[in-house]
Amino acid sequence: MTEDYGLMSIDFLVGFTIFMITFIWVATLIPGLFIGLQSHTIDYDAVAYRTGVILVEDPGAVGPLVTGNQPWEIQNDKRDVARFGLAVSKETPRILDENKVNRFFCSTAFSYPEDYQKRVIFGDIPYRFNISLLAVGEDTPRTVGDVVPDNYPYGYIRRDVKIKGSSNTTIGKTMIRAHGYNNTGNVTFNEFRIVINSSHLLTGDIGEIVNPNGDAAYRINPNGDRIIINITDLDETRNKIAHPNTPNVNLSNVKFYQTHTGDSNLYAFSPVAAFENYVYVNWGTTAVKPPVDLGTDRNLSMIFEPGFFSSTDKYGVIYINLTFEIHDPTEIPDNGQQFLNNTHTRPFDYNYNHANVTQPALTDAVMEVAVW
Amino acid sequence: MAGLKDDAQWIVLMGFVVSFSLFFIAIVINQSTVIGQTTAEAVLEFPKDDIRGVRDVIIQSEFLDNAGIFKNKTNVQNDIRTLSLSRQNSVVNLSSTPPTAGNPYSSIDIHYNNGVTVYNEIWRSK
Amino acid sequence: MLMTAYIVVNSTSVYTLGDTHISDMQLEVLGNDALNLMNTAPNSTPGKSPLQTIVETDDAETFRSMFLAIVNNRAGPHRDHVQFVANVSYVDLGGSINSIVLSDSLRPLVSGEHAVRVSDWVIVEKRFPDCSAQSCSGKHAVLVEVLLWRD
Repeated sequence: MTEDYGLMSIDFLVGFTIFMITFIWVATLIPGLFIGLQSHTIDYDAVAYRTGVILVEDPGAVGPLVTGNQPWEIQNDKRDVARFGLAVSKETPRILDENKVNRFFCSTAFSYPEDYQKRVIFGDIPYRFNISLLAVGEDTPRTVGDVVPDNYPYGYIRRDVKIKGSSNTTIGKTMIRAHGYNNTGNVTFNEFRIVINSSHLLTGDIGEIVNPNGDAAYRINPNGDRIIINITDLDETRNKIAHPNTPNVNLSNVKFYQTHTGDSNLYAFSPVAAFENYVYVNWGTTAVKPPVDLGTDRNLSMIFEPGFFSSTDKYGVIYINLTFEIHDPTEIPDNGQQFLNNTHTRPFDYNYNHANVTQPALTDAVMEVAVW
Repeated sequence: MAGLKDDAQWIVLMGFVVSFSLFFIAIVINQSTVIGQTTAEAVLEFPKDDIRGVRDVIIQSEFLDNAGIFKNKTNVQNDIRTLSLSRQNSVVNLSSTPPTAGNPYSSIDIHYNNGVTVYNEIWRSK
Repeated sequence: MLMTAYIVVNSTSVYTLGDTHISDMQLEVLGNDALNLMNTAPNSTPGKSPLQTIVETDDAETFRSMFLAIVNNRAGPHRDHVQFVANVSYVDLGGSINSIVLSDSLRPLVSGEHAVRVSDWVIVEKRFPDCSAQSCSGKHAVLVEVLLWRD
């Protein structure tokens, strides 16, 4: 017998087989040890998809300390924002709110990457990302994040969306004439009233939309939208034949009142300090607050930024009373003149009437999310 | 067996151990590609847009009139059931309650089942 | 021996990038977005969505230009190249289901490219396939189905 056979006894083989089977079974429990070494590449597309869904289909969420129904984009403290989401509401996915988009891409409000990672990317691994939004008609996309890499793989998703704009109105001489916003007597203080019926705007009929599920895409929301009211051609409202000289006109006061649900009493309120300046005179670029002289051109715009009316009752009514003071120093006695005035008729209703108010428009846009 | 030279046993044994460990590592690495696959497949399999689309069209159909020879609401709802079954492989059941004197809201009972995902909802108008 | 067995068993399931279905998912999400946006009315009056008008007037040209514009739009400089074929499924007088072609992107579907199918509901005032036997009025629900692939 030679001495180099690789002989193994049967019991050794059996024992060794049982040992190996047990070893393999235990070893398959080990992959948990490899998690630290796992390749993240497979995960990037999943994270990009999830981020895309959160941004495009979710309206966002505020932190636990916020009271009332205030949306996240008007919160000043970033700790009050729990999750970003750009959709107008839960029932309107893919329709983004313009104010949320502006706030999301605002580099002074939130810093890359920590603020975004905690509020839209989520997860323990510090992913780097790039989120871009390009609206049709614009040249450059708005972006947040790093430049997308050329030479290594990244996860990617592209979503098509529409961005809902804001509403506005211009009260010019055609409208003034049509509604009769001109008084016939001579008064020094002429009052012009505007009504924003929040209850009707949020729950009333808005036209021919037959799907009540998705109507938030077309609604004006005084709580969070920007509202722009332009008043032009004010000089045309005077009686220039009876008063040929140019008088001094100033907007002496703007008063705000609201009603609460079920209660018809008027409660006055004033804008908070952050929103104090909202009047622009004669197409100026700086905002002022009343009283303000209207000069000779006599055009004024009031731009109520998102959040201006956030303290009002969502289902109440908002009244805005403008008081114009008109003096002609050459006239003695100075009994005032005709001017823009609707105390004798109904207030101007900021509602869904297309003839009076330009409704919010939807513009196409595309959003790309890249994660690596 | 005493007296047999045992050196070759060790070589064979070590060969076994090495091949087993290579086998194991190969399996572990192989499983990693499956992670991406199951994520994408889970997204494709969940009929999110199908459910949203059917729900929206059912709510729209609820506000159609049912008058005259056209019977719009009945026809549209029958179309929805038939087309869902044949083109989207899903069974859609719906029953609606129009507003009455005591209850000014309409409500729709929607059931959707595509064999894998089941969705039930009672939708009430505002 | 073990390695041979492993190689034999493993070669039956070779995983490539396409098998992970990630690109299919991205394409399906994109197609759903585009079709849904075409089915959204641009404002509250008249409240009709472009897709409704296209299906009622059988306008293949408008569908093609609108769909290709939305689906190939990118935030960067280059456009994507996604092609499609669209048809409308309806219930006819007898109660059976039929489809007619609505539009396509003028490129044939070459086998080998993964295609995904997306669909959306529209309520139209039209009797398919035509209204010769009956009047054209009366609303019906139809399903617009689009098959899309990347070229």
